[in-house]
Amino acid sequence: MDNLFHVTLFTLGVALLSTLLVLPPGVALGWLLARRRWPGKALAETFVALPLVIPPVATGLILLKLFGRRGPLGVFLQQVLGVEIVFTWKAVVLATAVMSFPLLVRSARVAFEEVPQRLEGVARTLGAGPWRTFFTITLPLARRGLLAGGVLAFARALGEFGATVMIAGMIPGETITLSLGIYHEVQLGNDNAALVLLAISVVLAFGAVALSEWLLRRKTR
Amino acid sequence: MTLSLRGVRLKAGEFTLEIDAEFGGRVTGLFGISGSGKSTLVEIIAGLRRPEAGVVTLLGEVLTDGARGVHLPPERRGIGLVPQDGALFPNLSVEGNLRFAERRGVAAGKVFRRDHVCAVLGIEDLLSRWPVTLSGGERQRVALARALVSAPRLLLLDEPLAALDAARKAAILPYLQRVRDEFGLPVIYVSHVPQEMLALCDDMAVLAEGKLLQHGPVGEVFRRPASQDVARIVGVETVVAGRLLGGEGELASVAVGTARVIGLADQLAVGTLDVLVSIRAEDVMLVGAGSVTTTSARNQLPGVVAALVSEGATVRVELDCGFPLTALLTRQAVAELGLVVGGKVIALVKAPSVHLIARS
Repeated sequence: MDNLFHVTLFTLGVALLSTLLVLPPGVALGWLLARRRWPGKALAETFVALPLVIPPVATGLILLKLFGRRGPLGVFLQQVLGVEIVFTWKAVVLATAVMSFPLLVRSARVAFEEVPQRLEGVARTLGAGPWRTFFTITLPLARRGLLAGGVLAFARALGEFGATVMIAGMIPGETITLSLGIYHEVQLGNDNAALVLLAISVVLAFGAVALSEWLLRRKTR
Repeated sequence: MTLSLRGVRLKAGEFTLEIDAEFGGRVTGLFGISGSGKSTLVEIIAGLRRPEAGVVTLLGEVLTDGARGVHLPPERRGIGLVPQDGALFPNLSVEGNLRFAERRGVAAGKVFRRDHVCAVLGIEDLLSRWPVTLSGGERQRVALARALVSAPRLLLLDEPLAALDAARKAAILPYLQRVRDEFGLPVIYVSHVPQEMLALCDDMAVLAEGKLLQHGPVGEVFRRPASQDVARIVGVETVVAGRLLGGEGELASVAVGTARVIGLADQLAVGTLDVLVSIRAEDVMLVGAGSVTTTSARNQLPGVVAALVSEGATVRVELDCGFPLTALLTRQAVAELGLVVGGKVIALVKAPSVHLIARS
């Protein structure tokens, strides 16, 4: 029971943290893709979409090679900052963040594209600079799409398996989330324990969707 | 206002916008059919689009200078813009929309007080409403108020009436006239409707395919189009100021120059005195002097031919009937009537063809 509580809390915490981490860069990139023309834009789009189209396990392998003890980023992080990523809870956050990033960027891009540019133009003529225009006009008008993107990213993080298992492994009490737990228990033959985890997953997913619906409704005018 | 555009050039869609102009009037009309480049020009003036070349100055201040790479961002220009649909911010209430703009007004140190602006535009009761709940006419009035409280130095009205039906248009026109008179702001008024030009503007500039074809006093442009293209776009019309003398039922008698004309008065508000009389050139019939006996035309105006201008198949006949009147005749008709400069004729105009427009 204690263990169940821990896994649930850990999963929620990881999903929340990874969503918060991808939110600022995801919204910024979504805006850049929707509103600006820049060199390498098409390349960036493809690159961001990669985790959606290649198998999650493959994404996990790429992350493992990059952040592993002998990977370029892994070496840098360990020697300069003294941080070890692989096979720790940080790896779980990294994997879920990378996997949910494209979903958020796509939602954000569409959300920004739907804000009429004329409104932003008029805001500028009324004396608002680009930042004030963004925060008082663009962002509020895009909020529904951004919120939906955030919930999508959160849900993806809740259920991430393939990339996580590659880079974080299955270390009880350290890297096991609900989805890893389900697989783990089934492997050990503890089907009942797996079913309990399954039930918790369903409840969490249901809660996330309900929360987003409520948020969307509340802001409707 | 002195808004000057020197060598302004921008490729926009099918054509290249190339403008050299100096707008100096109180209300300048920018006239042209859709796709003529009006909105592009408005965006360049507002700073929302950057021309490839050219210099734009307002009251001597350089806003854009293509060659020197100067481009003042829109928020530092002090140029208010009211587009066709008003572009109210849907996430803010009417009051929120006004507050959004007010900040610039306060920063500019010159404020059209919100209460005053709201009173002039009759929107005091709308402040707590949301933009989606407003009618088209209300939306435009709020958009106008929002632009005003930002204390602009110049107001750009980009077809503000185009999205409204005839009744709403008629209802909002007086508000535009009030804004013009009350705030003394220079205005550039974009439209493709001659009636709006006549009712609001002092000068007008005719734009087609990205080029300025003619620029001058409104009456002048309508009466004497500089080219066949202008005549085709705006139509040829006599536009003169007149004073209402009185009426009989729906008919009104108007003093124009040394003459009197009779027109339909059903569009005029009670108490109107000063009007613009507009008569389309093709609605004017000419007959030889002394040959009229009885006719259905309420106006029989004796006059002298002042000029004959050939325009393809038609001839523009400029008359002096106590006021300048223009008629459009076929070449054949001119030959048969034996019209010569200095010759006497009688112009016949039916009362419904004499349009009276209130002009405060």
